[in-house]
Amino acid sequence: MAHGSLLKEKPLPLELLTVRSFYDDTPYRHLQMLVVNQDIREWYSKFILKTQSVKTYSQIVHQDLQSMTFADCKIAIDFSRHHLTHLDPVAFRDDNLPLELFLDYDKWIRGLAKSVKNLQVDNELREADEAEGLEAKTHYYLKGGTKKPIDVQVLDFDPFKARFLVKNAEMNIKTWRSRLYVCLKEDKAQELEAHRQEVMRRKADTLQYLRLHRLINDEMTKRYNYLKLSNSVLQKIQSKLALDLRRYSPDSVRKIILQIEGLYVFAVLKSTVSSQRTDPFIKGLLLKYKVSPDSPALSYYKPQHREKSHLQGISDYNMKGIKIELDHNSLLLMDEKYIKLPIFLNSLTARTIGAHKLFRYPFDVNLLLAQNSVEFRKTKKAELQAQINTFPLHHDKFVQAQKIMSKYFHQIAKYRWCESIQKEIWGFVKDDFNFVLGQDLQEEQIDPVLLRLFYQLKLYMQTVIFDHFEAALRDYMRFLLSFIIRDSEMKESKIVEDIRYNQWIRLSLKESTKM
Amino acid sequence: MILIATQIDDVDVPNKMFKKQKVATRPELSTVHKDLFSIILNMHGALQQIDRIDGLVFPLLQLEDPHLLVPDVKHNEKLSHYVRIVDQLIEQSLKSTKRELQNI
Repeated sequence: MAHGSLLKEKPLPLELLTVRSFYDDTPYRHLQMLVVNQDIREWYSKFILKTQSVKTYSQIVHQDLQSMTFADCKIAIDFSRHHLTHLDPVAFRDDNLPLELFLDYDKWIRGLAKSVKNLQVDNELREADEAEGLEAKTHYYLKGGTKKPIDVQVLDFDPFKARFLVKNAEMNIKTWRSRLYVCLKEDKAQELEAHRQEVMRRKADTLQYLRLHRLINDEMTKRYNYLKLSNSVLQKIQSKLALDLRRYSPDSVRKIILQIEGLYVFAVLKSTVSSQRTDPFIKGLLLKYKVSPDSPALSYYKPQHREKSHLQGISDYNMKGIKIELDHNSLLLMDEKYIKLPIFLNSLTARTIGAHKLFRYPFDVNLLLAQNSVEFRKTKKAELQAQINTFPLHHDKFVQAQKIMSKYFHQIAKYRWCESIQKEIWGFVKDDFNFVLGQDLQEEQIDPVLLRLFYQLKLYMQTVIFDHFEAALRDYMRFLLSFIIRDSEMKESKIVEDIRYNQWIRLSLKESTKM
Repeated sequence: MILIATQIDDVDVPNKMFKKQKVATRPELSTVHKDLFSIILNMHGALQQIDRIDGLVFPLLQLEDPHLLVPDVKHNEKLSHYVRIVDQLIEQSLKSTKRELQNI
């Protein structure tokens, strides 16, 4: 597939994304903005061309002829943030990065720029010579390499360069200076100097990353152009995304996959450079591209073990010598009402379904008749009593009565038990958690602590119904067993032995002794 | 334990001093077994379709399964033991009836 036609073609069916390679040569090309984002070609090309003196886009790609202002750099970074997962190698072709990029803008520039603009408004009706500026000091560099501080007035601010126009009337000097070299009266000189050093360090580090980027882009990718992701890895990536990719634009999906491939190649090549940095060939490349062998750019991010207490929003507690860590929201669950919730739930469960059983014998005839079932509607109480509570039982009546009682239990559990819990829980959580009612919700949208509470509630309720079911099976087994063991021969039978020694079967001590 | 009705008729044997009996309606013991076992199925069925509280608190919450999980009889060793034994006990309790019918 030719690069130029990559996105001009009709979008590929999604199934083919993992079984077909997107490139015939260097996958690292896909780290370039225009290779994967042809839809912004015109706009982005114009922007890049504006940043240097050469005429064509390909000249920029192959030569270091770019010089970007503060505003250009910001635009390029924003472009990358919106359209790529990394920095476009076509931007930032040289080391001429403005220092202002690394300044703490809000602290050092924004306030002064606003003051200067306000002053300009005040000066509008004055003659140019009479215009007043903000008092400051800057360094004047002498021919011998020495410098001396001189008084200046700050007159203007250029947002594109993020620099200030300063003037010294006595020496007739007017120049644009970085904020790092403009010291206002209220500035602390030591603090400004410390920040200047920090900015230099930040720039030096950034250049190391950029140079390594260029080294890999210009040298390594040409030598290792066969590197690419295998189809099985691509499939794994897709499965890890845990998203139905069919819901998204095929172009967007393709862009992301292309970039994953490009970044994979970048990571492999960076690893090669990093691990082989003492190799004469790699050493030569590092020297050529001015990358220091101990540069931070050659190191890898290793996730460090962090205690929960280091994470934001986590508070530490030391209770009786045991370190207990709780996140902020979990503290809610320390409220007395939540601590007492299990006791409260047990009591509510006992009140609602505690007295009801899945298996019943003898039957409560009144309750049975109250169910108004078709089978027993016309049966008289005494007659029913004889049929289901007196031996021998009528098997069909007995089975039918049990079914009705199971159904009754279901209704009690579903309506009385669940709804009582729901009502109480709503009373608990409605004031403690934020949520929007009246719209479709996904589980992920619910507060994790509330979700955890619901999860524990679900486990609790499932345990309750499990216990009821187990008790019902046990009761039924006892019921059947009570007849079997009347037969003396049966006492030694295999099935009774099985029950006696089965670790899973629980019978009361009394019954076991009888057996 | 269970009353199972069957009709047994006398059959006259000509020129003989004794009577013979035959079972006119033979109860389907396998059906009786199934009926008694169906009590377990009904009890299990009664635990289905019980709503989860998060689904009740947020009626528009999209849940994969809005109901509580019912006990998994097949994969829970404890429950499967109970079910197996109940099945055997039913079988055992019907044996005497079966024997009686065969003797007729």
